[in-house]
Amino acid sequence: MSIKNTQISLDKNILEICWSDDHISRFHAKWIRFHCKCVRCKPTVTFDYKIDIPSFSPDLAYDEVKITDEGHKLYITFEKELFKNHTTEHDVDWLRQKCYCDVCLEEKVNARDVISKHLRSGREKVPPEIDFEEILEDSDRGTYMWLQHIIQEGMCIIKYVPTEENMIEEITRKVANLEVTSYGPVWNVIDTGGDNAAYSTIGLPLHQDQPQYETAPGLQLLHTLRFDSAVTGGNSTMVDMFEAVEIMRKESSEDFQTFVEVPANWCQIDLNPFSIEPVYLEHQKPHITLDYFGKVVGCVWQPGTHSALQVRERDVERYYKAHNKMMEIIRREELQYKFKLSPGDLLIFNNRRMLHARDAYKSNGGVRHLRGTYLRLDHVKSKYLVLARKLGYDVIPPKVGNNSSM
Amino acid sequence: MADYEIRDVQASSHKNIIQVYWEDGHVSRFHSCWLRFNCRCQICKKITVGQHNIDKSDPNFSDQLTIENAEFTKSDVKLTIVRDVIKDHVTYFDANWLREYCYCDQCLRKIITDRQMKFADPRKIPKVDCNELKSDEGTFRMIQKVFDVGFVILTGVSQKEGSVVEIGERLAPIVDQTYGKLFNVIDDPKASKENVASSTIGLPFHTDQCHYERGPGIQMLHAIQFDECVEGGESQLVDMFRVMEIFRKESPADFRVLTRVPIFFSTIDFKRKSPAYIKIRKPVIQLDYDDEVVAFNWNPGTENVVQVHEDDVEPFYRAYRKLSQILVRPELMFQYRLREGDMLFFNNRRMVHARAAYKSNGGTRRLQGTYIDIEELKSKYVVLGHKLGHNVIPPKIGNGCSI
Repeated sequence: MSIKNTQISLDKNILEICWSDDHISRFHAKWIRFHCKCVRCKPTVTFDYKIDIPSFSPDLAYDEVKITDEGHKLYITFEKELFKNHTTEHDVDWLRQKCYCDVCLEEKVNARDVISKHLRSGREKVPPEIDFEEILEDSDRGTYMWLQHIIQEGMCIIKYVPTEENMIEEITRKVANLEVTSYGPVWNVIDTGGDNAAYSTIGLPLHQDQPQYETAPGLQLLHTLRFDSAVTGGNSTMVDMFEAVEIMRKESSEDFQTFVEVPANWCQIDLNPFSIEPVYLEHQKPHITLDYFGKVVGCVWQPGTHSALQVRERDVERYYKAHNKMMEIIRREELQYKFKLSPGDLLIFNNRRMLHARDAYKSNGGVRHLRGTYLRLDHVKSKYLVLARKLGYDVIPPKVGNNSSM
Repeated sequence: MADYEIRDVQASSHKNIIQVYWEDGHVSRFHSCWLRFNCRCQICKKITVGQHNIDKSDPNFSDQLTIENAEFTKSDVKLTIVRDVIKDHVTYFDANWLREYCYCDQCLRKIITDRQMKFADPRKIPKVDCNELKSDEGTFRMIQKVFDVGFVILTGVSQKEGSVVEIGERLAPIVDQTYGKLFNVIDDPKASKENVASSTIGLPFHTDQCHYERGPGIQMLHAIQFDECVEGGESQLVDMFRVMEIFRKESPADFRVLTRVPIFFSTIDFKRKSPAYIKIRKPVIQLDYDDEVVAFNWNPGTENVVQVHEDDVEPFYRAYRKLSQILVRPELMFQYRLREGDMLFFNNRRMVHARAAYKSNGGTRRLQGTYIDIEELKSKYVVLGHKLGHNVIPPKIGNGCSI
């Protein structure tokens, strides 16, 4: 990409670049100066703090702009420059990449929105599968493959994982350290007749795990150690909440807006002095998070751990109306993945995107036992990109549902 | 907790609102849908975690839930709803619970003001002897101080390697995201190629790891070695919530810009021992439903390229500059030179921290650090307080909400 011509605005604050493909970029003086890539200004290591913005004059303005003969670099000088004899340096290709005109910003956001791309593809609601052999043969490539499914479809099942207790940690630690919650680093989903609905035989409605934390766990992994043939019921259902949210936005912008504005409370509270693990966790946040561009970047849904609604009178009825609308949408057949886990299946899903549910079951003397753990989404995305680079794949950093669109 | 008594209960003419008149003069208004969906009878009340007893969207509930009948005593309320999905169901509340969850503007406001952060005098450095942690009461008071002021200096810590992890994990789970459970902050030419913290230069005010979606809550730094001959290297802290309050008062328009226009934070390094691509976009200031500041993100050392609409570029830099200038006002800064045996224990989601540059002069300055989960620490604080019979209000800690 080369520059056809440049022009500085009359007020010396904007540099307009006309590119060889006729695209036009407009760069502010402060932006060009503070992103200078010369040896003196460019950070080379983590936490290298070289440009102290408040030290610069608020009236920084363009003086001169030069393109090198080869056309690869731009050299700029400023009026009211802070460093004596300093020339700001920029790589022309980098500048084009970082153009922030509305068109380019929109393109970048859309390019990263792999979730919407997947939803538009109209793919059948069948959980993608990978054979455990593929991970054994080539750990990097096998791990990359299931991570890619998580990034695109939001879920994946690794088949035929040996039904040993330690396997889930072995596979998970190839990605990152476990995300630990009040349930411990690794936990067992099995009927203990106890004090938690998950550790019983009752059905669990569609939900995400643990929004009583500021950020719910990122990735959830569930390894099926046992699912005896005597057991009846216990089938799994999953829904992509991003899909449900887009439907809500289309069908009822009013309810959508309610879910962006009006927060709910989730909690895990047990102050009983006789309980084994007393706990006090509580958080308040809206169901839907939008980013700077108005795109949906996060969603929360767990009807089982709500505490009482604490919002202004005028928001109460509209909240329940929106709640019912969302409940109705996620129950539609066409949104649902329905499957039954077999022993050896390792179900992995983005807990910030996919809702999961379990049908009630009857043991009939048999056992249904899943072993579970979590991973932070930041690490999942990081490992995906690091592996892609290592394996030579060209991928765009994706939107994953951790409240950031880029 | 006080015992609240009911004087009278009246349904509105449309039968979708109940007014509760309390003996102490307070008046509450509750919607019928709220009452039904938060019912505290034995069938509906949550007794197991994750159990979803009331299906709010059951189509058999009528669209407009109206109250058929309302009865009360001094200490409870019983209602019936027209066409309730459960036959003969009685919606039940005890008075104390109902009063606790009153959502009139006054009560909602009180939830916020009860938890408002108080700003401490930077001339006073809060210190706690680490032996206090041997008792529940001592531990409770220490955590209380951390949530009140934003940090404490624990004194008399054993100079054994790994003390910081030993103390940390007794309080809350260790958060191991990047640097391992235990990390050393020391001048190391090799390590400084990966992170400038491993050098002698001064570090500007920042909060750690806001390139993660949720930064580590509590940071602990133990001065395991800090020779007398070392010049400089003081620890500096500023209460960012106080800074943001000043910013909001002095430049409300600039304040608004930083709640809306986001920055990228990142650590992208494919070459280091554990390669990583962590990049996220967030606003500097996070507001909640009540327009209160509930979190912030500030780390000039890990900011990435500004990618915002043209119209926002200059307002952004102007606001950023203004906030940066408030942050460095000397009267806001806590400053303390750690002594061997001291451990800095601070809320990394409330305080920004910095380090003065230092000269080794042949000596060593080595800190050992770790992070622990602040939400679990808050849980421990409330649980302990309850166990000890204290009246604890769960504090606001800077984790994205007021409660």
